[in-house]
Amino acid sequence: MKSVPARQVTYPLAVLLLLAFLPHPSLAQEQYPNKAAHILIYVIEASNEGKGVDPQIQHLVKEFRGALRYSSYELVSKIPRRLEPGEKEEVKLPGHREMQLRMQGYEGNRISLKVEIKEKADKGRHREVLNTEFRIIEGGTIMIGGYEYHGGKLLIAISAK
Amino acid sequence: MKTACERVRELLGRFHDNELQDDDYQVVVEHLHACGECSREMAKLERISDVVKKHYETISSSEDFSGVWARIAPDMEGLASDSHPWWRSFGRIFWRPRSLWATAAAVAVALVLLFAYLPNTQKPAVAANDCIIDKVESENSSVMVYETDETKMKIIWVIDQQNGDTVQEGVTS
Repeated sequence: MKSVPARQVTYPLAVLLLLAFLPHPSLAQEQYPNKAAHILIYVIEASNEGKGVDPQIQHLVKEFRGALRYSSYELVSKIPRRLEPGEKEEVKLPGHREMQLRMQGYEGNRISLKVEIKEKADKGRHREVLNTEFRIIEGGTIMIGGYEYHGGKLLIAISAK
Repeated sequence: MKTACERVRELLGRFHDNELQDDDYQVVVEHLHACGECSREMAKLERISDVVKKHYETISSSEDFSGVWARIAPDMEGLASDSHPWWRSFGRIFWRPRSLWATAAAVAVALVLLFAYLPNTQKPAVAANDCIIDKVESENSSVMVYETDETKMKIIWVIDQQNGDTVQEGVTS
């Protein structure tokens, strides 16, 4: 078999490797997109008093049902929000609670959010019952729960995309 | 021992091609002036040479060698000088049929590296609900964070101690 000079292989290989190491334009765009996030908040009442799952949240309950064992899941409210990076929004929750949601920006394909939940305490004061920051993948959902509500528990599912 | 004629006739071919050293050339010239037989031999050699030359010219004039030269010329220039532009030699590598397999192999190796090994291009497989929790705080409550097995959904569960919550009856693990 006829031998091929090494440079005939080396030159194209070197050029292609160089191209491979260059930052990919689509990755660069993903890194710091300055776009708004669409947040969808599901406020759900979970209890053992009834049976069944609200058809509007069946897709959601299917995702966390393995971890929670309530017999009934009812949608209390569904709150859509559109938040620009740095923008914050207050959302009223049942039981004299309010949730402050702040969109902190994108990190790659993750959306960084800060969530503060406050509850009305004595003498008109509010106490902070939760302060959390997380980075959720686009299209993902996180669940916050445990608050007393009508003999059951209040669940707050936050989806971001 | 060789005679003068025999020695001169051995030199006639090179004499005709003008390849002799000065002293041999002089010997042949003087001998041809003096020897009629060798002069005739020399004339015969010149006639044969003329016939061959004319025949070659007839053939070569009917052939077109311009295309051959056009193909040879760039290589000749490349060999004559190393200062030709890099893109020209690079282009030749790609366009020569004999290097096609080598180019294809190089492309294949580069693609394998690009999609399989380079960290910049690798996107790790992540669950649809993948979430990194950086901070969880509560003033008066305990907080439990866990994840569902299959869907990898993070659940932040607040245990309200002020209201006397102890065991979370709905939580499985």
